[in-house]
Amino acid sequence: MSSNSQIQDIMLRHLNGEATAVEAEALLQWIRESSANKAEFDLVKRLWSDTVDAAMHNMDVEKAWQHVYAQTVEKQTKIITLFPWKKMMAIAASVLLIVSAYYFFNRPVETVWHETLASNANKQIRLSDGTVITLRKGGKLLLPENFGKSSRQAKLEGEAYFEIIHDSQRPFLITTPRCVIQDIGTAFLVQNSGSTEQVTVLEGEVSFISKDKKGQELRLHAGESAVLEKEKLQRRVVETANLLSWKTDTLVFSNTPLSQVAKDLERYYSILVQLPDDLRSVHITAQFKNEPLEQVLRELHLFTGLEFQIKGRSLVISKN
Amino acid sequence: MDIIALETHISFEAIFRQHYERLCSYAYTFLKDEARSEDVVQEVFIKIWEQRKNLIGSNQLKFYLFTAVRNNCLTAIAKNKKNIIIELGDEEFPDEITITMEAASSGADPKILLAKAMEQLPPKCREVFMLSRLSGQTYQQIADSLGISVKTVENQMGKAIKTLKVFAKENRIYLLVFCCLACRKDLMHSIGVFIEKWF
Repeated sequence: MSSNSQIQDIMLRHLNGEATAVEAEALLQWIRESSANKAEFDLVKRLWSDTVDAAMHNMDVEKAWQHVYAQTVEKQTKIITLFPWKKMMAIAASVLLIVSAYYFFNRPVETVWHETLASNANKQIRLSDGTVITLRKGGKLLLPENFGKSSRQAKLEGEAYFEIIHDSQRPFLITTPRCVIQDIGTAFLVQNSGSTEQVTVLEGEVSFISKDKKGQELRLHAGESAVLEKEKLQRRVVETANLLSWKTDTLVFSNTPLSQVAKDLERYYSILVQLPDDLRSVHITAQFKNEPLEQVLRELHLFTGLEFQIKGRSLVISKN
Repeated sequence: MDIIALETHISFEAIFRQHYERLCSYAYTFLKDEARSEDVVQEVFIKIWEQRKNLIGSNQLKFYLFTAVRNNCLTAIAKNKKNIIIELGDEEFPDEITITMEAASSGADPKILLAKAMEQLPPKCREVFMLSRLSGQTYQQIADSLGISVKTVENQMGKAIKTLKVFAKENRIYLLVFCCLACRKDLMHSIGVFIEKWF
C-alpha cells in the first residue's frame, strides 16, 4: 500500500502547488490508468477545497475593521495633529511665536493644487524632479503647489503617459477618481473614462490600488495592464504597439490583424469602427506618421482592396 | 497624512480584509470561541500597526500573521488554566483513525459534516491540516511556523486526507447530493410525462 500513500502525497503536493514536473507527470499517468483512480483523485480534490469552506467561520469583517481602524490608523492621525499642540502648551510664552511659526509650517495644511488642462492639444509637463508627463487632449492634471518638497503627488482625470524619475525616498503617487497608482521605477500610461480606469506599464513596475473599501491592489510590470471596471480590478492583455499613438502621432502595423487595427484607429482618431467578423483576421503591415484619417483610409484600401467609408462618427469597413 | 502613510493605510486595510476571516477561523481551532478568536486576531493586527509596520507589504506578512495568531492563542489558553494546552510533540498517533458520526446527521450539508469530521482528527494532525487549508502556505512554511519537520507536515497532511476520505465514503457525503439530484430529475421527468399525457 506504500505506493498508494505515495501517490496520495503527490496529489496533496500537487494541490498545494508544490509537486515537481516529474511528480505531476506520474500523477497524470496514474489518473489515466483507471476510472477508479480518476474518481479517487476527484474525491481528494473535492475534499481539498471543501475543507477550506468547512473550516471557515463567517465574521462581521466590516465591524471588526472599524474597531481595528479606530485603534490604528485613526489613532495615529490624531496623535500627529495633537502632538504639536501639547508641545506648545508646555513651552514658555517667550518662544510662543517661534513655536507657532513652527507649527504653522508643519501642520497638515490644505494643499493648494495647480490645474493643467490639455483643452485643444496634448500637453507635455516637465516637473522639477525630471519627470515628464504627457497629458492627452481633453485631460486634466492637478499638481500640488509644493510638489516634490516632501512627497510627489499628482491627480489625474483623463489619459496621460508618465515617465517618472524613480526616487525610493519619495514615491510618485497618482490619484484618479477611483484609484491610487504608485510608481516603483517607471514609465506607464493611465487612462480613466466615465466608468473604467486602466493602467499600462511600459517600463518598470507600479502598484495599482483601488480606493474603495476593498483596497484591491495589483503589482504591474513592464508590458502588463490592468483595468478597474465595476469595482473589480483585473489584469488585461493589451497590444502595446500603438498605445501611445496619441503622443507619437505614429501608427505602426506589422502583420497586425484588422481587428487590432480597428481598435488603434478608434483610439487615435476618436471614431467608432464597424468591422464584419469575417474581416477581423485580415492582416496589415503599414506605417502612418501624423496623417489625416482620409489619407490613412485611402492607403488601407490600396493594401487590402476593402472599402473604408466614413458615416458620421463611424467608420464602416466592408468587402467590395 | 503623507503619501507613505496613506499607502501603508490602504495596504493595511486590504491585508486586513483579505486575511481576517481565515485568521479568525484558524484561531477558532484553538479557542473554540468566535468572540475570543476575533479578539486575538484584532490584537495581532493592532500590534503590526504599532510595532511591525515594516511588515506591511512584505511577503513574510502572511507567515507572521498565522504564526502570531497561533502563539497568541496558545498564550491565551495558558492564561486561562481551565483549558488544556495543545502540545505539539512529534509522537505518533495510530495510523488508522476512524471518525464516527451519528446516523441522524447523514443527509446534512456536506460542509457541516466535514467540519465535524475535521474536529475529530487527532490534535496534531488537525492543527497541521487546518493551518494548511486556511493559510494556503507551503509545507516548509507550515513546518517553520509549527516548529516541526517538513516530513511530519507531509505525514500529518496524508493522515488527515486519508481519514476524511474514508469518512466521506462511509457517510456518502457527496453521493447523497448526487442521489438527491438524480431523484429530483427523475421526478421532474415523471411530471413532464404526466403533463404531456393529460394536457
